Amino acid sequence: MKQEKKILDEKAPSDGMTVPEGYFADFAARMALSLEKTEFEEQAHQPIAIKPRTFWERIRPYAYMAAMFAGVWCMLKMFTLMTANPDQVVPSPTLSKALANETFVNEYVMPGIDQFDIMSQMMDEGFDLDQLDQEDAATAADADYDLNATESLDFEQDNE
Amino acid sequence: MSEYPRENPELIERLRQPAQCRQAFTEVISQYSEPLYWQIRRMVQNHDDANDLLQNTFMKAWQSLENFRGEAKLSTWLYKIAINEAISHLEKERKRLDLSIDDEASHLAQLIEADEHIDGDELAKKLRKAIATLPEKQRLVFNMKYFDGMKYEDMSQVLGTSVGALKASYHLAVKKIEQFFEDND
Repeated sequence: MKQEKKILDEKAPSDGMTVPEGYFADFAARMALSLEKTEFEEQAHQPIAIKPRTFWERIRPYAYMAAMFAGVWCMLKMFTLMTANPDQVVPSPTLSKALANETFVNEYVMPGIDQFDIMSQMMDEGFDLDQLDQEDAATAADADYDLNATESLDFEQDNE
Repeated sequence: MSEYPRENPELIERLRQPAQCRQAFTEVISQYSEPLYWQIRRMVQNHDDANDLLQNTFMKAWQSLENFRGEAKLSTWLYKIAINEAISHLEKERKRLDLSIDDEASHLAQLIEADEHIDGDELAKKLRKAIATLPEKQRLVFNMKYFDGMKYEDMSQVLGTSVGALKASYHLAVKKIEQFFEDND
């Protein structure tokens, strides 16, 4: 048993098995010869097919560049609109020219007009003033009703 | 017996190149045929069966070379294929001879007795018989650790078992072999 136990403690254990002489050298040579051609190996001999470029592939860089410039332009436009001073009068050559024209001022700018002139012109053009009065009355009645409703609601809330 | 060759990154890279894979694989056969042979032989005990299974191992490795991505060690990958081949062979033999797992030990003992390729060391033969009594997985663990000196971490990758379980398995295997020696003294 001592000797048997010793075999388990040996540093270079042996199981007593052997192989025919020259087996491993022979095996490697035989095995290398018996390897069949695989699909993976054949990939090396296949020419790399160059796919023709489609129309979109050809114009794609230019389309992307155009989209980029459009984006930059939109950003600048937005920035200008957001930072513009609303009080600032933009000098317009068309408006300056129009105001310098005396005929334009006489025809389109009417500083002396008043409400009576407007009513007279409306009557001349056949507008029914009675209808206008009725519409005014209806609008005023609606406004009163809303006002009363709001007041009564306030009153109820106060009571509560 | 035979130590596993060190991992060679240049060889692995060549294995992944379709133009160079054949030459590289021939080198793999030269380097790994011996350690893989002994691993298989210790499982199946018979030289002729071990020879056939070793051929199948390299054939399968060659056919699935495209799937080897180099993430696992080359030796681990080859070891896995070899062990699967050996286990499948033992299962087929069990079915063919209608053997139970318990009967397998005596069948393997018969193969050891009939083996022509031995050096006549009676103690070594007894050790082989003792190993043959172990369950399949314990036998694998014992062979890898005792004969190949494989690290538990590497064994864990090959067998898909935790390091702790492998240590326990090896410890049990040694105890059983010692018990076998005691019983057959």
